[in-house]
Amino acid sequence: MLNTQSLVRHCLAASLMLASFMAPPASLATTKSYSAPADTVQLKASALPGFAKASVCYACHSAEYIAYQPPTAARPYWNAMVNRMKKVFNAPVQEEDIPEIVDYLVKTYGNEQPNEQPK
Amino acid sequence: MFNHDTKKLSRRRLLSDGAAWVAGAGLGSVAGTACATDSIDMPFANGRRHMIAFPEKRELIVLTTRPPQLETPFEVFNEGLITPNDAFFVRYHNNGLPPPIDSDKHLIKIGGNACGKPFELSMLELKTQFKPVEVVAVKQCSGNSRGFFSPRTTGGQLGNGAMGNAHWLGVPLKDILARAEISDKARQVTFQGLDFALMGGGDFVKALDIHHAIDGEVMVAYQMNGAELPFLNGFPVALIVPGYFGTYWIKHLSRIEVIDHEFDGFWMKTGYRVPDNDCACTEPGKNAASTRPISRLNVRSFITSHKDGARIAAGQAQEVRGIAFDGGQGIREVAYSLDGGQSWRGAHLSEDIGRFSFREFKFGFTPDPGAYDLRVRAFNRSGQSQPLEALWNPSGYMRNGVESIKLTAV
Repeated sequence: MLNTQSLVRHCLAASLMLASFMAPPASLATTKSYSAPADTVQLKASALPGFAKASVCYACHSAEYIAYQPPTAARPYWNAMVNRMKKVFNAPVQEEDIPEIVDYLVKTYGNEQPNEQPK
Repeated sequence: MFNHDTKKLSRRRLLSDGAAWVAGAGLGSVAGTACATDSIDMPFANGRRHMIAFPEKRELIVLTTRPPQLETPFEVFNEGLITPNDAFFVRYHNNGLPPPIDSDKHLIKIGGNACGKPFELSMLELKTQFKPVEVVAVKQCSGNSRGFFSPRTTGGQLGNGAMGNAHWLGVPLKDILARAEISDKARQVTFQGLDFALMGGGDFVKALDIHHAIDGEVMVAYQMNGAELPFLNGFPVALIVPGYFGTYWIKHLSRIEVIDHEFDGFWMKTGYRVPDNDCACTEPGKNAASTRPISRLNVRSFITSHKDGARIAAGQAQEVRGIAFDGGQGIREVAYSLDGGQSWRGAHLSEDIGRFSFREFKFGFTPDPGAYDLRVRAFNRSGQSQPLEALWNPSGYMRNGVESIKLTAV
């Protein structure tokens, strides 16, 4: 396990590498590329059957899209979003998995959370 | 009363927490998250956010990692009227980010069924064959401040940092379209960038009415604040639609189509629509009877110098500073109140650097001991202003209510 200090050093080294990599002034650059940092949020583990099936969501987006919704988000919202992902964005979701995925989402992030305490 | 300021919130180093959390998530490597150690608590439920420096960006508030959506920490808006490139917010819709882009090889393809002469434009041609123009303009996300809606609305839960003001250099779209031999049947112009939807559905394409596209204000920009655009802000060229919400400001612009009908893609027909009435609002919790595409920015103003909940010194003169903007009429007046809106006076307006820009305002007061509730309310040149209490709509767009900053003088 890394301790705090080694994390700080690691972070600093990464920053310096980035700085030297980007050394030429931006106005001279003709090629730019992008690579995404690693995801820092994962879907919450759950005994609900929809948890494993919801990993299909990662194919197109990181978990904050789900995890940061307001705790008031109700079942019709989650249902509409999963269906939108399939119908509009061609997400590789099996039709028969949708009810369980929606159930997991609303009970884990929405207004059917067990000990929900909205502010 | 809501507040907008994120910096007053406990900003915590979470180095040890972060490491434990990563271990808990069962990831094999800590390397990717070693810098994800700052977090910030936005002032609404479920508002904990990581702060991470993405490529070409300083540490920003991460709304989502894939595709990247990054929010500017609010204190940046007190540092000057221009938002630095490395602090400028980022908003993508699909995670098909472009592969490496060589600006010398990038082409904008102009066509469509109401374009008589399709052609391609290289960056060299764009920079050398047209007369460049400059504008200082605010880009603001349609859902900026969505997290403050009450009742909450679903979607990206942003604080007030999905906005920025930059100096753009480029070419009027009108001059480009002048080469396209547009037919009389032209109704709209659509815009698309190199970013794409991963599974083939829901590509991000936006449309402007033809009269808007050729009004001379819409611009194809290749410089932002005197430098190349950051990759995440649309390198090497982006559409700039001064006075309009950011959704139309297509990044990595690669395709322009002049068409003879109203475009009906998902992001126009279903997404980014507001209630079709004067206030673009509904009764809280209710859907709109009919909707229209979101368009022009409404009037907003923010105090940037003082943080909600701060303590100040009684008897000591306070200089309060902030920013105001609108959809392009320009700001005519900013009124301020020290007593929660019971009495109002005029703030001083600083230099006008353009009607699409942030406008700085200032006022001073010397507090007696006690509580103060500062409010600011801007008016534009056609008299439009901000509602004293924020309005509501189902998608959480266009928030612009009068903001409140509560201070205690001791």
